[in-house]
Amino acid sequence: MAIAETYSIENELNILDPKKVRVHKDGFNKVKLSIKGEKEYPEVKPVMGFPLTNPDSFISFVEMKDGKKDKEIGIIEDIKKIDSKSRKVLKEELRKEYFMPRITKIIRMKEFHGVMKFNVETDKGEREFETRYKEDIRKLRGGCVVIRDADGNRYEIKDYRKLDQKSLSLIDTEL
Amino acid sequence: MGTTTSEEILPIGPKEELPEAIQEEVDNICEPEENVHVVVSTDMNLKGIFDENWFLATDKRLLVFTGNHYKRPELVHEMPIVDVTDVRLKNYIGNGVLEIETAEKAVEFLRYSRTAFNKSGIAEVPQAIDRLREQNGVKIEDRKGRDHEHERGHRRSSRCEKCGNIVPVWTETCPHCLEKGTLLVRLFSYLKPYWYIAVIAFVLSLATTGLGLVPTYITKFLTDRVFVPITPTSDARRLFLLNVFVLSIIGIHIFNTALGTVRTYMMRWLGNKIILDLRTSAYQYLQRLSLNFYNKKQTGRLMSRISNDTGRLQNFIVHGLQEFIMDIFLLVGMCIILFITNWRLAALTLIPIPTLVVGSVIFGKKMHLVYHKVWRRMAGISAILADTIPGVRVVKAFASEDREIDRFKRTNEELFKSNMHAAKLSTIYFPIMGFATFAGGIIIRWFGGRDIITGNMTLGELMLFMGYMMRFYAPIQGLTRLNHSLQMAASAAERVFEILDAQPEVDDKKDAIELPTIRGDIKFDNVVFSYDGEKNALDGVSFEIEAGQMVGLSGPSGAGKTTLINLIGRFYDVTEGSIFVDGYDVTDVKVRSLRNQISVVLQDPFLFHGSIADNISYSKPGASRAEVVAAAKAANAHDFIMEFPDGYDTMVGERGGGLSGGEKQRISIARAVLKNPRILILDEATSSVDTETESLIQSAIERLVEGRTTFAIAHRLSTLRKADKLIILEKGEIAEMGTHDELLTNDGLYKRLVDMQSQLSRMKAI
Repeated sequence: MAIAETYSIENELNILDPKKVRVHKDGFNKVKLSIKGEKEYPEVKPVMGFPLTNPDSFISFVEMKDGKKDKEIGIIEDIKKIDSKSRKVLKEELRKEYFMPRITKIIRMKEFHGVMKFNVETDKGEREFETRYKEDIRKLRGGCVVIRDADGNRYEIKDYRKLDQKSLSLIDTEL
Repeated sequence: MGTTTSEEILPIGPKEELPEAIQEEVDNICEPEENVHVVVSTDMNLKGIFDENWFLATDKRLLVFTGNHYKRPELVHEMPIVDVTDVRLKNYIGNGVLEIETAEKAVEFLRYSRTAFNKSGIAEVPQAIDRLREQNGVKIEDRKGRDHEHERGHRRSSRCEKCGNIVPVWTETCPHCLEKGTLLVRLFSYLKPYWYIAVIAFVLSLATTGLGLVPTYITKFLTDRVFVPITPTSDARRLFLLNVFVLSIIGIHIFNTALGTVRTYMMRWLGNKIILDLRTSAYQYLQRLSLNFYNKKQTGRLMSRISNDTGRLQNFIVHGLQEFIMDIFLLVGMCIILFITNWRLAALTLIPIPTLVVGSVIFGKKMHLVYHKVWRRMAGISAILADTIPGVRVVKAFASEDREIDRFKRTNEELFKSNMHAAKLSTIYFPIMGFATFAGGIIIRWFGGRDIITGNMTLGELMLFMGYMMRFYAPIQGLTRLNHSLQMAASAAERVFEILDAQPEVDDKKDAIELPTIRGDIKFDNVVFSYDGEKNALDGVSFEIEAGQMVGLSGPSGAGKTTLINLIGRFYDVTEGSIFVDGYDVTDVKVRSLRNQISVVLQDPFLFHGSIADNISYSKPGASRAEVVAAAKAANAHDFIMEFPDGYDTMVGERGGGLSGGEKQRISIARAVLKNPRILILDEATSSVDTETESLIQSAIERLVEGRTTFAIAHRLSTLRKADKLIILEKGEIAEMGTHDELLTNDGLYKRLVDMQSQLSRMKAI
């Protein structure tokens, strides 16, 4: 007996056709989305589904109404599949909205009464920041480490195992 | 007229001190009579590179510069204020942008990290610019709601308001602004009632330390007078001296042991006594504080303060402090004796000390790090256990045992590695420290031996050095740890004192009166309440309830239902407006006399560790057994209680382990029945039980409600049908009020909720 019409969860995903998607910005810094042959959206907000583990996949577009988030329009599965112009705009916007400098070297780590103070070098320049919770230093798969500081900023170490010896010995204690 | 002058004095916006180099640039650009009103610095440029950036607003224009004292400033933006049509702060993750809009375009003006946002006055910039625009003759509509929402889940600033440093999680007072000295002084104020004991113990400490040095000193005489006499002595005389010296050593030892015993006992008594006082007063205080204090702290942390932190203080007073004083006396005493005996050799004995001190400090730090890592790994293992053992059903259901074993194995291996690292360090540390001590022995033997040969020193004196040497180095290592233990004690003291210093927010007025037995009329008069002073949980709520009426409270979650009932019991004080019970303002009466007439049945009832009977009679200590059983019967609890082998004597755990949710609920209703309150509050009392139990509870509640003023919060609106009055809250305001029928005809929020629920139950039926 054949099983008739099994429900598939994939139907829940509202995947946008990457060939039809165009993203651009106007002079008022608004991100616009057009789906060729279907619809134009005057203001949308792109959001990453996996900003830490997979920033290039599952980008969701949310429609903006009166400066507030409204409903989700759809998702693009892979940012690489949309045209290069749109991709550039989108990546730039995402990188601004999810600002996460990459730590290249740890100069100093010092604890004072449970507050850990970091002095680091990042791809955006030298930086000093503090963490309050040990959970703020998160180890992800593949040696990636994400640190969230006491003010809510995020920092990333691509692969902590590949840091120089001194940096490694400093961060290793906290992982 | 007075108001206008104060407005002129009021600053337009935040103003930081401007670096001179930028000031010069500003002077070049601006007209002479132009005033700078806003100066804000940020920590990144528009490209997102960390860099100093300055935003300025004058009467006429907005400016942005990069640069600082060291780098030549450069102008990034300049815009006349009259061109501005809108100002926005766009707060993103990890950074944000100040965006200025003109008629033609929007310009990203300034970029800032969250740190800069929390530290500087960027948040006030849009309002400041609006004020300047108004001065330039632009009409501004209301600012409210125009700013972009903050990043979700963004914590409120964790910086100290005074010094701007990050405040640790476990405390509210900034350790940077903390004076360790004052804390210890305050700690010692607890010594005051027992100062005589403290003085005696101190004198005894001195005596035992001093006496502890004597036997070795006697050995010196023993050597020089008896074993190898320096001056010719008769054998009989030598024998006599031998007896005298040996007997005095025995005597001193016994005497010193006795003194030491008394001293140790006194110090322990003292330490325990202080902690007894401190712990009790902290607990007393904790009980007096209002719910708000508990909301702000995690209960686990509060518990730790009462048990662990006070314990840590005791440890410091009893052990840390005592050892510290002894170590100092021992060192000073030995130094004096040794230097008097042979200053040259004594000085040489000090040579290994720097190695000892430096070694202890360096290794102490290293060991701390390594053990920290071990502790981390250990916590990792605990986390896995805490995850997978209670969640074992999920693990087995998804057949992921092997995966979990693998995860555990990996973490365990990491623990092994860091444990071995610690082992490696300590195996190096102890030999090195041992060598330093050993070197001291060699110095004494070699230089001392030479002195003996040249006749500058006697054998007895050498024995004295050898005897003291072993005891000389130990206190030094102890003293290097002093700073650490001092730090620990200071922070523990601070956490305990924080509780003692907190002011109860709900406190009886000095002239508060005893509330007489009430009938139960309740009146809310324009009540406003805010938990954090920013968002109003209740916003102008007014209503009147007659004694004996039942009021149903409903509305979406977060509408302020629980807040409203918490205010009736005065668990918090209203921010504005007043609440009257029988015409008495609740802030004018004693909190106890008010709460004595109110009973609360919560959604998740809390049972204390004890028997079922104890738990029922918690609301009325000293209630007779008959009363307890009657209350249980009224609450439909009697039958299931009697099924336990121990009946009413059945022990229930901290959270009422062994009882089902419905059973716990009925015990808490029995508790409420026994109290016989005038006002009854039911907070979702039936929401977490099955239908059958619900009907049991419902019938128990109906008995309880009879003739009392009752407030019932319920999501299942059918349970509220019998209410005399329904209050529907929405966003802290009363959306609708009336009887069930009135509200149905009203066709408002209540009607919508009722419709939705009947639809839901139809769906469930399918």
